[in-house]
Amino acid sequence: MNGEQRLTWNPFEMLGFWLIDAWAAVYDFLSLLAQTLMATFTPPFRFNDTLKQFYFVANQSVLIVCFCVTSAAAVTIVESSYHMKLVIQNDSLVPGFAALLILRELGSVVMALLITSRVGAGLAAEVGSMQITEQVDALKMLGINPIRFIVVPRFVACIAAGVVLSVVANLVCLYGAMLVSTWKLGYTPGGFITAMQGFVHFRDLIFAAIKGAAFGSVIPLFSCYFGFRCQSGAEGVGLATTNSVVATSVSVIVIDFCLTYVFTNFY
Amino acid sequence: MTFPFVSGARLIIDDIGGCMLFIGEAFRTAFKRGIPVHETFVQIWRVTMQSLSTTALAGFFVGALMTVQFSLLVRNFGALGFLGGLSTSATIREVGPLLIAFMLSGKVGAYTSAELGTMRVTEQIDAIRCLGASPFQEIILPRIVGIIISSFFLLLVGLMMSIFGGVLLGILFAHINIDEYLRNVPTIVNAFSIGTGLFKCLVFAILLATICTYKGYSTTGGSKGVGRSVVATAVSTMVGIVVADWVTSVISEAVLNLAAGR
Amino acid sequence: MKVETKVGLLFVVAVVMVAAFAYYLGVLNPFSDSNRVQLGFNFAGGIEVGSKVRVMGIEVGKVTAIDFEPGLKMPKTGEEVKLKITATISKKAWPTVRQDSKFFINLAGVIGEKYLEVSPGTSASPELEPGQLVRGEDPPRIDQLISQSYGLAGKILDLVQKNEGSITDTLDKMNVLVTNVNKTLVLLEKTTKNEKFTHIVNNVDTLTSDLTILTSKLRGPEAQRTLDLMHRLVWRLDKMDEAAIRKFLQQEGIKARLF
Repeated sequence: MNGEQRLTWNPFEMLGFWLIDAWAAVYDFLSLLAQTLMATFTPPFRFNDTLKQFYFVANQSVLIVCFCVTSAAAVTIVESSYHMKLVIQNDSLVPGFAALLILRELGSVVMALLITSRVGAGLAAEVGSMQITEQVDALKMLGINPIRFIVVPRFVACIAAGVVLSVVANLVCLYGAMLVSTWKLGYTPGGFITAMQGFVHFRDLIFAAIKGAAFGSVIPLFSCYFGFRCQSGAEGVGLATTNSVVATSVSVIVIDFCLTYVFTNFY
Repeated sequence: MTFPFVSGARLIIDDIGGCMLFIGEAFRTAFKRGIPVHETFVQIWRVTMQSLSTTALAGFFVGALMTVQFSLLVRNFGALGFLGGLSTSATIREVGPLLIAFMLSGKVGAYTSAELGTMRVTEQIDAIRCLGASPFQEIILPRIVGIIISSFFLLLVGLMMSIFGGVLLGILFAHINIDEYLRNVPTIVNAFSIGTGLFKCLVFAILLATICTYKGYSTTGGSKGVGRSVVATAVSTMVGIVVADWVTSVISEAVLNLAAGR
Repeated sequence: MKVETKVGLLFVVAVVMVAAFAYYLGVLNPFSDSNRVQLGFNFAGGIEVGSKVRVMGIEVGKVTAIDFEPGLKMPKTGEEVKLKITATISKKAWPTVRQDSKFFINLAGVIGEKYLEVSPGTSASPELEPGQLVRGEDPPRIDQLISQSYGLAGKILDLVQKNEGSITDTLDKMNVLVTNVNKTLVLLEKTTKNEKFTHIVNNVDTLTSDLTILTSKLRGPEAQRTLDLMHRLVWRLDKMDEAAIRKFLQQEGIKARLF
């Protein structure tokens, strides 16, 4: 990233620089991923650290996730009732549709975006400050693999937390949807469950958990990637944080799309 | 964590109160001294350019996602003709503004709060005050106005991309042609839907701009404090946006019922 | 509280929630209170695993499995059935399901959801045994029905096309007829408003009522007897020839110029 070479208006040169940078970034990311996976499945395992990270990721986020997801459920009910009335002049199918939408998309994605901004940002800032205060280099000097020490516990904890939070968020969201439809559309809870049963299968929850795991695995990878690449200074940390949040959010949406496309083969 | 509900609730209420005072101060400055036009345009340009690619990409995939999901639902009725209208309507009314707000809160919100926080902890804000200028006029107002205005540009881009993604997936996944997809869009999307979407976008943008400038402005405690306020910004904008989404949905439904005379 | 405990609690909560969800969807039911019944079908009209089972319209269970078994035969009749559907029926409803119960596949709801309807059996026949294989009633093939009605519609169309002229003619004549009848009716309506006509109608009314009184007497048993007698008389008279009658009349001393 030497600045003076950048000052060119030759489009081919610009493309070349861009390609070199892009390849370097992709290479860094892939090697981080490979090393993380290697270290995840080989001993020594760092159980205590993983547990602490899990506590930070899952337990401390569960309330906020539940709160947001319940709001999202309320919105879903109101909106799907609007659309149903528009298209078939009747909102009797709202519980089924809303439950399906919550389980397939809403619960996991809202959860993932919240975790991204809450955990991913913190993680990138943490790793970034470790990088610029040369703690990472100190670890390397002591003969400790920083990836095993820093990334792996967070990686494992985030995957587990993704599954757990996804399940909790989806079911709390369904419960919220049930409450809101009881209150706004005049359903009874039993009626909601019966209407839901026609649309929702148990495998939808399993798919939601798989999505949660995928989103959870993306968050620490991007955060640590941007944290390790952090430039010196407070601005560098801020930039690393912002970049990691944005990259994670976009990749959550892209992964969600891909997984939905794959899962449609099983519905 | 011992679930400090009481102190947590007090902290949240303190935050909300501080935010109110902050936005009141911003308004007072705007009326007394005016908004610096040039700096505002700089901010609009910066925010829009910063988030354009992200928003476009996310919009494309969300449009595609909505189409896939709705096609799975609508296929049961053999009403694939409604697919375009439904997914476009859902995107315009609900998902588009929400998505733009989420993306902006990740990108612009975090950036602005980090920038302002750094200014605060390196005492640049105090320096501005020492020079006799108002930091509200010089720094805060251009950012707030810039974020609000550029969020509309980004909404436009995001919606275009999401409609494009929806059409593409409608062709690839649901196997319906483009005319069929677009035919029912005007029957389902009306002026009211677009109004709802714009209203939501406005509310989210105001919320986001206020929270991120407030959090950045009130940063304390060195470079660690900057990190803290960035995370706090991200989390509180997310929560605020989701809650505001619900509130605006209820309001728009009430307005619809009022307009229909029910 | 220790960190470990809290993490464990969260896990437990998640697992309990999954279990509750599974219970509500009916995937997992530890307190199973239902019996299984196996049904043979040759056509099952789009029923799915998870479709509801209803006895007399009340939901009592669901379809748990659908198996293709090429070699399956009904134990009693030996009829080949290639599709085996396993369904659960709750124990509450079990006593109403008898050997002579019928198992239909039916449609319900806004989107035409399929379900298995069980008609209650008569209490005279014995209860079904759990797990027994029963022959289900194949639903009418709606596709076949539609294709047949297509054929019918085609024939009607043919008929119409071949006889187009005559049918049009008939229709025209019918049209004229209807117009005429309409005119007549209008005239009739006008006439009924005339006072004289009302008078006539009243007279006719009294006449008919008088006649009714007269004829009602004719219907009595006495009248019947009289008629019988007359009938017999005529019958006898018919056998005699003219001469005999004349002779008879002369004998009686009646000198009349009858003939």
